[in-house]
Parts: sequence; structure tokens; C-alpha cells
Amino acid sequence: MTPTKLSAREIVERGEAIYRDTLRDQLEPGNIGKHIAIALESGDYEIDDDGDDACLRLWARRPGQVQAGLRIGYDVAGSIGAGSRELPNR
Amino acid sequence: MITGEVFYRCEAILRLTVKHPSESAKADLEAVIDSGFSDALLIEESLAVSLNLPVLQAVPYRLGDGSRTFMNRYLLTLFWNGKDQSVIATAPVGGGTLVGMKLLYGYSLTIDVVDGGAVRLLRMD
Repeated sequence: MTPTKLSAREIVERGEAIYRDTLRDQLEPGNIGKHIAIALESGDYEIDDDGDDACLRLWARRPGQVQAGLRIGYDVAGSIGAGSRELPNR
Repeated sequence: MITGEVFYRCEAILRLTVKHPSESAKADLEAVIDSGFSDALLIEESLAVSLNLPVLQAVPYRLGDGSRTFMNRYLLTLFWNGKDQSVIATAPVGGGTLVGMKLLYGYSLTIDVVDGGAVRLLRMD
């Protein structure tokens, strides 16, 4: 089981590194805007338009493996606070 | 119909009960409805710890000031519209308890914006 002593930032950064090093070339540009859940321990992942659905499907397959929840082509997966509308990174 | 109240500096509040998905620990909380929050439920990190909720994932988020932050997400059970449902709750470092648009999706929301005013959520289907 992935150590849960990792901070939220560390979990996200490790997930981003896995995505950048092993997944980006095969997943972009066709999946821009979709949510991806990446299990840090195995590198396994799930993609969905809904981030919660991707998370729960991956959790069912990889229980106990903490995940990074990202949005393909964006630097955030969600927002809090009015007045902002996210645009793709490029 | 789900009801709440306008309270505390004109905030629209819903009173919710949440619990661990498989253990008996539960808590009552007051959550502010925030249309700028894209997810379902925001909770205090301390609540997640006290309920011993399992960490599912961490995510990057954009705050209202434009900054980027990182949050843990937890699986819990929420008593909502008369029944228990599984919800993934987000817990920011700075705290806060919010109901977001994902939980309200499919509902019509009306707020009587006066002290003690009624908050009503009605399923649209």
C-alpha cells in the first residue's frame, strides 16, 4: 500500500511525473479535458469525463493504492471560488 | 425536498450527517452552499482524521485568488435526500465545509436571502 505519509502535494507531483514520463504521449491530444486517476504504487490508471468515476473504478481494481487525480491537459482538476474558468494548458 | 437556512453572514447552510463508509464513526456538520465549488463536498482535514476516513487520492485545485493548491480526497457516506450515498469529499489545508455543484446537480435550488431565510433543494426529475 502506498505510504499515506506523503503530502497531497507530493502525491500530485509523483502522479504528474508518472503521467509525463509514461502516459502523456499515448493519451494526448485525444483525451484533453478528461480526468485521469493514477495509482502511484502500480502506475495503473483510469480515465473518465468524471473524476470521481475514474477514482472509484481504479480504487476497485487497486484498493489501498493512493492515487493522483489529474485533468489531462490542465494544471488543476477542480476549482473553488467564483469567477474562474479553466482553459487547457495549450 | 432538502432544506436549509440562510445563516452567518448571509451564507446558505445545509446541515448534513456524514460517516465512515464501513465503520460506525459519524459526524454532523454545517456546510455552506458554494456555486464556485465544482466538486461535491469540502470538509475539514481534521474531520477526515477524526472519522478515520481512507485517503483515496490527492488533486491539484485552483482557488479563487488564482493560486494552485493540493488537497486530499476521502471516501465517506453522506445521508442525502433520505438515503445514504457514497461521496468523495475534498479536504483543503485551509479548512472549510462546503457543498458544491456536483452534489447539487439535478436539483433546483432556491434561497430566500434574508436572515433565517429558507434554502430549498428540489429534485428536478
